[in-house]
Amino acid sequence: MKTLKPWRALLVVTAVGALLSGCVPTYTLVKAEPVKVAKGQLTVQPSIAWNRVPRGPYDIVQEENWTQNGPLLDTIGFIAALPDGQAIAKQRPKDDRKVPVFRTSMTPQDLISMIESFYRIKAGANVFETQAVKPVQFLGVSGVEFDYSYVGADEIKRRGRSVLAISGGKLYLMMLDGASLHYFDAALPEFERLTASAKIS
Amino acid sequence: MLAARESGLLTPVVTRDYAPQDLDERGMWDQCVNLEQQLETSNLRIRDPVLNEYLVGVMQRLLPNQADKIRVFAMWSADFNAAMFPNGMMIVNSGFLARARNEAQLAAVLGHESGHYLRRHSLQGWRNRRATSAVMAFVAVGAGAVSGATGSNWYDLANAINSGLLLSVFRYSRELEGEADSYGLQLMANAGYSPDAASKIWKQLIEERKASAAARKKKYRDGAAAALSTHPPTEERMGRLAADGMFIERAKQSGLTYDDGRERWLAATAALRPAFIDEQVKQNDPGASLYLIESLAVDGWDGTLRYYEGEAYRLRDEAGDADRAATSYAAAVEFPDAMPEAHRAHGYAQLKKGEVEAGRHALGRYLELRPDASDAAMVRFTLGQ
Repeated sequence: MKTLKPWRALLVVTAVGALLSGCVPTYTLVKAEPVKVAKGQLTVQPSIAWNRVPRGPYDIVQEENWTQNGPLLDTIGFIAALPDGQAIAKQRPKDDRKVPVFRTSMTPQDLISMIESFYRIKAGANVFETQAVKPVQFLGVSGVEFDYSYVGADEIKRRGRSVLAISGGKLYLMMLDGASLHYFDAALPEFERLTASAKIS
Repeated sequence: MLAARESGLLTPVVTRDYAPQDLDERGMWDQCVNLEQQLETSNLRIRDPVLNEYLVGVMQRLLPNQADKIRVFAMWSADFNAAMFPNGMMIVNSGFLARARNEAQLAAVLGHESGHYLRRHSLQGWRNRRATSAVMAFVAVGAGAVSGATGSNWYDLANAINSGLLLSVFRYSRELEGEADSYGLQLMANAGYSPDAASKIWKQLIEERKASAAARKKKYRDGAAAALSTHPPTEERMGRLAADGMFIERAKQSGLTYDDGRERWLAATAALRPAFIDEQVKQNDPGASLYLIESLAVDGWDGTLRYYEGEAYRLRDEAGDADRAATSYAAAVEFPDAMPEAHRAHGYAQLKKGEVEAGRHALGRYLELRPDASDAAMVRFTLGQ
């Protein structure tokens, strides 16, 4: 289970916990209309309905995740208004392996290695390949679009796209993650619509 | 066992024409066949033909008569580990390959694992554990505790199916590990490798874990010495191997020179070495990363090591690390083997320091060396700003 991405592991943990306690954390519906995400810091407009993944102890405060077919197959993640000095994953000071914290001074290279470290350390990626790094306009500023593929300990090949921008000294990140067989490609057009529609609330 | 070790007469139980002897053993082999089919097509397998042919060659040198009975699978996994299965299937992790400095150190681990195979330890181990306690068979201590593993992997999978299937370098009874260590040394000495390579690789691993713990202001604990562990604590094992190594060395006839095979090792891993080190450094365990780089640099600094030294500082991101990283990158690009990525890192580091012209020059150099880089568009955008 340690091999699962934090939000995936969380699902299993919370599902088991919920069965024991009789309280089931539920997925909630995200309707196809403008919606505030990630503590209301970002507004996006989905064109289809999504499922909001229940929050759990592995999520950072500024985070929200959606899925279409379940988190093992596809996930869209949002992190908004992350301040300088904080990491995109929850971690303890004495953890052996740590995702580098966000800095407003980060170069594009720093941002993409922060994402790669996140996958290697928190998502159990054993093989991680950068496919493309491009400049994009995101939230009205110049940002970075980062495409990659990876194989986690479950041996499934997945692809991901992270779109990042620094605005007002804070990090905004949208992330699509999906099985490279079908699911990533299937969700990509909607992800592109979401990033294009995204506005700081 | 000691007598056998002193006379150098540990003999194989598993010979060339060996077949499983009874139902227990046949069952274990059948499970291994399934695992091996999965390994063959795994997305995590390192498919580099040069490395794979080289591993076959080293096995042939260690086991001239039986090398074809052992199939070595090199796998991407950052943890320092290797494992032997009863049917002759062996796994060697990229996390070990990243740390080995020469062929003799590789042979030390391949020889140890071969010792498990030739002495049929998996069956003994499985029977011992079944006899003592069914629970103990599923207690997982070892590789994870020692090397700070994050995810599950082949070792866990094999354990989940049947803990007796696999013998990793970190697991199982002291007696069996001791025998595999001795057998490994014997194979090494016969193949002309310096047997003290075995204790050196363990020493490196202990020092690395200490460096990692110190960097986080944690106390080093020999994970292998944990209460539930049955295998020799790593420091104890290192000391014993050093003593064994000296013994065998003395026992060899004078005038024999040992070969560490460093040149062959470097040639076989040249294409993969940056990826092996990259995988370690990206774990961002700075104490371990910097120790690893320094231990590899004992044989001489090069552009790849200086670049990854810079990467370790950049990812660590403590006060002063930006300058340290910049210094490493500046040194890296001076080496003839400097990777194009070193120029990119050098360029961004200079831009951060406000040295705009020099930074732009280095980024330009990166694009010259790698015009079709996956991030060429991003670097051009930076240059256009």
